[in-house]
Amino acid sequence: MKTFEEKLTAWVDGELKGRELAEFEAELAGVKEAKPLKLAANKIGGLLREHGRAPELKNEDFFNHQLMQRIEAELPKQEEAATPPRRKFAWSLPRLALAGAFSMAVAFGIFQMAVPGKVANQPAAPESPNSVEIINTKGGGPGISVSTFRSQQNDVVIWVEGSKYMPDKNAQAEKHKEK
Amino acid sequence: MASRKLTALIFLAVLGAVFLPMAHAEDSIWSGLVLATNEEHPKQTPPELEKYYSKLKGIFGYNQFELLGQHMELMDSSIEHWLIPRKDFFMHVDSQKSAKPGFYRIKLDLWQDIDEEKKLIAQIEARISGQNSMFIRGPYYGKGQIVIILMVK
Repeated sequence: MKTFEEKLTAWVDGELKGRELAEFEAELAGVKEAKPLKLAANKIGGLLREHGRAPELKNEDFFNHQLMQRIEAELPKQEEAATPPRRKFAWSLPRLALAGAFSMAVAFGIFQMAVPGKVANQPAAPESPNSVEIINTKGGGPGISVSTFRSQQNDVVIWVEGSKYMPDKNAQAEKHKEK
Repeated sequence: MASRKLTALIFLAVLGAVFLPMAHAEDSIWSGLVLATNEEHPKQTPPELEKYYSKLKGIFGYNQFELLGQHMELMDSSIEHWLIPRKDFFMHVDSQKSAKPGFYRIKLDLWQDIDEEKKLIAQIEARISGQNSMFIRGPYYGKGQIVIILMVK
């Protein structure tokens, strides 16, 4: 005795015949979806029969060659990925900084010990133009002006103009004594 | 572990050997009050002014320089004050150590006293450092002029 599902499959495939077919179609009379189901199944079956096979390779050897090349090309990457990570550089950053500072200190020390004589004998370097910086100047009263300039030797000169003449009382007293 | 300690000790020892001698003594600021005149037979320049002679002559055009007063202030505290007094002219200096080592901010007041009347003639604020000199041309005085020199020594 076939189950309903077996009969349905046989009906869709067109395998039911005669009395069995008539009885099953009578049973399906109340089922609206039966006919569209059969049509869809037949359509899918037709398509599968038509396109179900993979296309035949016209040049199998070339395809195999390409495939093998790709596999070989990918192999080294896999090997690289499989290799263990390289050993880290033995000196860490703080160690490098410490070594750098130490080297600089040693170099500076050698310079201080070996070169100062030479430096002392050299003519004095030109003075830094920024070592004297005038921040503000102000005259003490009306008619007194204060101006600033740099000499040819780069010294800062402040010129106070307009202050009262000051007699040299000591010189005057001495002259008076001489008379 | 022991080698690390040894490395650190050597490093500190070298640093100390290099930098301790560089910790120079306190600076001083020298200031001088000079009378500049033109004389037919100029007097010998005082030893304190010998190094400035050519500069003074070049800048101010006089040939004789006499030291009317001087002061050497040791900059051993952050703020210093000093005065170069004369009866008729005096200079007051306030000095403050700058955050930058060897740099000083100075405030200079120049006063003159004519007929018992004190008068501020100029106020100057400057930052000075190193072996640089600062020259100030003051009022005419007698047959010449007053010149002030300031220098960090």
